[in-house]
Amino acid sequence: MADLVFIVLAIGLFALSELYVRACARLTGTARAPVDAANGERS
Amino acid sequence: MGLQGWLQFALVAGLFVVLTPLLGGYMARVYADERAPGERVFAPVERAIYRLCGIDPTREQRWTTYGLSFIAFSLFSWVVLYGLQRLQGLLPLNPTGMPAVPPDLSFNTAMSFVSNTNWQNYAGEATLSHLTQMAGLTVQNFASAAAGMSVLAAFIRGLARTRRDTIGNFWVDLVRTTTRILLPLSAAVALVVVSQGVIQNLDGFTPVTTLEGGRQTLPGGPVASQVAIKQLGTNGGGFFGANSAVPYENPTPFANLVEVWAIGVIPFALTATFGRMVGSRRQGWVLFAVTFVLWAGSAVAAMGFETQGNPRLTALGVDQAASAQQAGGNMEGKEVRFGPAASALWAATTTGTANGSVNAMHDSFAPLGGGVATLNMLLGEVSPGGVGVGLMGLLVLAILAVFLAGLMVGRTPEYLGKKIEPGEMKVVTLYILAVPLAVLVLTAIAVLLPSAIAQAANAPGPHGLTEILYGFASPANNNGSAFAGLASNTPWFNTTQGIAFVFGRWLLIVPALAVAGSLARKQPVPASAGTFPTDGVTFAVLLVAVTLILVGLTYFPVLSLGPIVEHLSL
Repeated sequence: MADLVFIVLAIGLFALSELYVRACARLTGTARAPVDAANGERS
Repeated sequence: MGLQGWLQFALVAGLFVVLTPLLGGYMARVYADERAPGERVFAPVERAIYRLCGIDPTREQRWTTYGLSFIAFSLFSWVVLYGLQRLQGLLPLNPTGMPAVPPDLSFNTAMSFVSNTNWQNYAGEATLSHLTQMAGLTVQNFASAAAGMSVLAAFIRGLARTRRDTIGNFWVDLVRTTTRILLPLSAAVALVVVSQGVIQNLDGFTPVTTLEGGRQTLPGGPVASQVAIKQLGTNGGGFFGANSAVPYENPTPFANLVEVWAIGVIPFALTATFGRMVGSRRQGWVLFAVTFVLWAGSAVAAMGFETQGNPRLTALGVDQAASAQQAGGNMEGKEVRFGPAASALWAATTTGTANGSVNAMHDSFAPLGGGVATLNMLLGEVSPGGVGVGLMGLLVLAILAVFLAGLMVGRTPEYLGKKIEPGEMKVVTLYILAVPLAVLVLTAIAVLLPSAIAQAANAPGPHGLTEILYGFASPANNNGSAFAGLASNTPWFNTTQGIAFVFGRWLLIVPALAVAGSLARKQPVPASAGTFPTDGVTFAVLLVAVTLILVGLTYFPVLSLGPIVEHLSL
């Protein structure tokens, strides 16, 4: 039972980090619309 | 401070200065995907890893994908490390028969090592099997350090690139950092410390008879391989509970010198990597100067406080002067073979770099000596900070500094030709607030809980407050050093510190990557008469001031109630 609690807590904290990625992308306006998709790959 | 202390300081400082351009230049080649020494050895190994893991090294990632890859890798690492601890009693390489680590301690330790903190609420020799130490902790020492350095490489690309949507490939950066930087350096340092007497075996406990006829039990284990990367990767977690104060981890003054050098060499050298990657070595030297001034100032201050001795003992007529018979100074909690100067130099270096290994007990330092160690962490680990993330933090502060300079002269701030706009400043604000929020809120809650106060050896009182403050400042800044007066292996501390690790790692790296992703898209603007130059002394002074004032305003009240009032009461 204690294992389950800590595993869920850890997954929850990492999920929070993932939500943080989305929030920061929205704040910086980088969530969508690549500037220039053509130069997004290495040649 | 005597001549011996000054010579040790000068030698370590000189090595940092001389090796920064050499190692920094090499690392810039690694991250720029240029040919570098050892290409014939490393390239085939890396190709095999890419094939095995299904990585396309030619495919780059946007910052969001880069960040999610980093988080996914961290979660995977956490699951493996948690599982290893919980199952170690059933697994091989357990000659001392260690049972499973309790769940709350496993949670804390896994989060601690995955976040490159290495805070330890346990003594390794009495808690962990060799398998957990090797396949769990040592692997994470490499992986978490490589992940931090990868993130810095991505951040620098974001500053250096123009109208690009990608900042590199996390998996490629992770592999190249490990194979080309951390593994070769670690192998070299491991051999040096083995030559000094650091052990490397798979033995369990060995009973021996001492010269006086007493019985003693000596622990064994693969120590040297863990010590090398724990210093180079600014991890700091010791194989033994007393960390680098144990002769098996740090046996001689020469080993001590090599290990202090190993703690700082990569963080300092990354400033030169930055300069090379952004096309202006001068920019790199400015950041080196800032980190060097902060580190050197804290080292000299701590060495001065510890070599002075305790004024209360002086009042009692105790001889604390250095002589042929004694090291002198404040020797409580210190190893005789190192003395107060080398112990304080180590303390300043380990807390300034987010390393966290200790060769003396910080709880026994003079109030202001311990205060220097605490302040170094509260600065946000930028002097020079942990591998990768330290310089990343300083670059975030640099953006804040140009923003403040822009406000003063009424112009849009720029850094390296990129305009700093509201979007970037919003996430910089999130970055700045995350750690103080964790440190101050959790410390405030702890001092209100009788059960938490009971774990601090010197509570209630200013020293007890410092012990609790340190108990959250260290995890939340991903340092990992312990003050030694806080018995924090309790479910409450294990859990809350586990949360503090998250604030100091993922909630800082994500906004920093967002800044990088945003800046990479921008077209640089040409420098004009109104551009604030960031490659000169004025900017270096401003950056030091911003770093110190920001910390001063945030933490001064709690530092006043802890180390400062304790010093005044001596």
